[in-house]
Amino acid sequence: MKRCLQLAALALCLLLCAGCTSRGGAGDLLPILSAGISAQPDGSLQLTAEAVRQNSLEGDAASLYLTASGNNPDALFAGAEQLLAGKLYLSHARTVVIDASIAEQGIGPLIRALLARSDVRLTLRLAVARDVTADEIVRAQAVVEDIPGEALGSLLDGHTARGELPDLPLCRVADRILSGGDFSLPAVTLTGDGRVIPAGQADFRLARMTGFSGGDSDAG
Amino acid sequence: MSVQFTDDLSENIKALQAVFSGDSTFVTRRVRSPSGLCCAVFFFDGMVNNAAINESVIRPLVRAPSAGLSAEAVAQGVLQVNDCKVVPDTGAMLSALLYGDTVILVAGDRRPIVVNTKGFSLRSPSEPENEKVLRGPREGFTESFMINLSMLRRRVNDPRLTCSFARYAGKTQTVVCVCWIKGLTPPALVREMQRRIRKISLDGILDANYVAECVRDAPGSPFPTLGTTERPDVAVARLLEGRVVVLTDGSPVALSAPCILQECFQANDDYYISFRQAAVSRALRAAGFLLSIVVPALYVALLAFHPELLPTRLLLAINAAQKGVPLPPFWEILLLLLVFETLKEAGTRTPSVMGSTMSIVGGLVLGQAAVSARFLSAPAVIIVAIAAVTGLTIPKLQSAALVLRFSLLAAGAAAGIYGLVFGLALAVCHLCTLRSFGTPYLLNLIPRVRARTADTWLRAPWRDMPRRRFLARQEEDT
Repeated sequence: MKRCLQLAALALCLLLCAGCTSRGGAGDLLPILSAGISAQPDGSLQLTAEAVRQNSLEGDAASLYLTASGNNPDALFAGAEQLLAGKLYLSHARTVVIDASIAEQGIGPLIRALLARSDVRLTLRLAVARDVTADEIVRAQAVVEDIPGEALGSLLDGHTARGELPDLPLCRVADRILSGGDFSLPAVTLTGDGRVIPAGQADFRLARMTGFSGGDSDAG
Repeated sequence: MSVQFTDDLSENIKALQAVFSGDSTFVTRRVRSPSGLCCAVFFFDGMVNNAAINESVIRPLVRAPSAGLSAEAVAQGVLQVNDCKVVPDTGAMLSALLYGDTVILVAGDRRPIVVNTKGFSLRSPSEPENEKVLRGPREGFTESFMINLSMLRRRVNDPRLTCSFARYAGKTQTVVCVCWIKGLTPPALVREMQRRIRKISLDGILDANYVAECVRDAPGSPFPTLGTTERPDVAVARLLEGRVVVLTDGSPVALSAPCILQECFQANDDYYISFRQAAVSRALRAAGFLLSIVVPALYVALLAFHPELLPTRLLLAINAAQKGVPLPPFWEILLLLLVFETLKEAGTRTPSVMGSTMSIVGGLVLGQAAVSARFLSAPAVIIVAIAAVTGLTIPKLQSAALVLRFSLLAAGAAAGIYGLVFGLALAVCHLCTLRSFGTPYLLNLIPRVRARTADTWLRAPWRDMPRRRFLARQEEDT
């Protein structure tokens, strides 16, 4: 009994000294639900991340957009980390949209950068923006859901479940790239009234986009 | 303590009065019959039945037919009581006198007569507060173990029910009674219980818990290794299962051994309601216990280490609730759990008329005010409320739930879900090492013999359980 109490006291002291108990809760987090990577005129990349914040239990969640620039995907994420004081949190991100021009140059570095992060889910979906920029897709207003990032994720999940879009989350894309196989990613575009809709698929060979197939290139 | 008697009645009276000198409740009554028989009657006021003394002791003595009778002759031919005997042992005589019996000394005989005239006031049997049932017997044990024994005997009308008394040698001289049914209970179990009771070395026994703490296995464990009940029907059920039941004079609690973890999830109601309903209730109790110990730790672990496991909407809601709260989740939960335990303790000690006031102030005002003032977050209050309510479903495991809840909370706060799982694994290892009177504590947790699954996690219909089965008769099953 005495030994048990001594062990318990020791464990409590270690716990308090370790500082684990002061780890913050969810209040510190700014979850990012979707991100878009667009090419800039000067050749650099721009990350547009949709973060969600809810200030009270009674209020609705509101989206806010953060942008960061860099010459490569690693630099993009590093810039975003700096912007958020090291608290870039991608665990709840469901979709990353990329510009067609970036996809044509190859998505290998982006996939590697995403896989290097421990907070990115392997079920993250990648999509290619067709005829519009990824930034426009991410900033498009949602119709059904109140959070655009969730709406975009649900849209892709729904069409994938019905077999209308290729089911290639991040883990499978990485697998295809490593095995050198061809694959297709969903393509999305905007309607005339600014809604996001699927627009066929983007075909890839050796991690580079070769073109779009299916869908309507002019949805408006 | 003892006293030496002689054949001289006056000397004997003086000797006995010297033992209780200064005690105003000690009564001496000298009796002299017309025929010349001289006696002295001794008793303690308030401990005896006055009517019985007057009608069955004094009156027959006054009407004694002749003088010079011996103690045996008086006991057999004069006194009109059902229980009287000549007790040469003055130590036993003094104990009986102190316990409400009447002592009679006859002139010319040094041996006292002890007459059972106990008449002290006792609480009448009522339903135990902490073992209430919706349906079934409402009778509960009282503080008198003879009444308690009568309740057992009334239910087990079988000569094999055996009750062995042992008077504890401390200052209280408390009677401890070991009951078992011959042929059902292993003799080794009875001997072991009697051996452990004999080894108790306290200056007195005032309640069954004194015995329980001295005879139980693993006294440092928060899990009960000795069963307790205040209901005679439950005690009888345990006797029928081949266990030993221990009654302690002055306590309404009966102890039973061995005790296994699974019986903590069983309730009296289970046997008096439909077996289907009983199965659901047992499942709820098991789930309640698990939730009670795991939920606070899981909440802290998820928020501090694994927020990615939370659905986005839930994360956003918790995120919103935690904004402005100064304490990290661990301290929030710890503080609330301590407040809850304090409220529970205060509620137990508070007079019932003040109970509702305390509930309102403690539960509603404090909880609501703390959330409004952003001192605590609403999800933390909800989590502790879940832990508190679910913990109340298993009253027999409250102590274990308390210890595990805080230990797992610390483990979860230190290492997240890994810590929580490690803590649970340690708890399971501890349970695996526990034994109650030689019986594994986790017996029947996963029954290997089909016949013994009838009353484990589920209760089979009574028609499928013609005989109660338990560890004591496992040889019959295998």
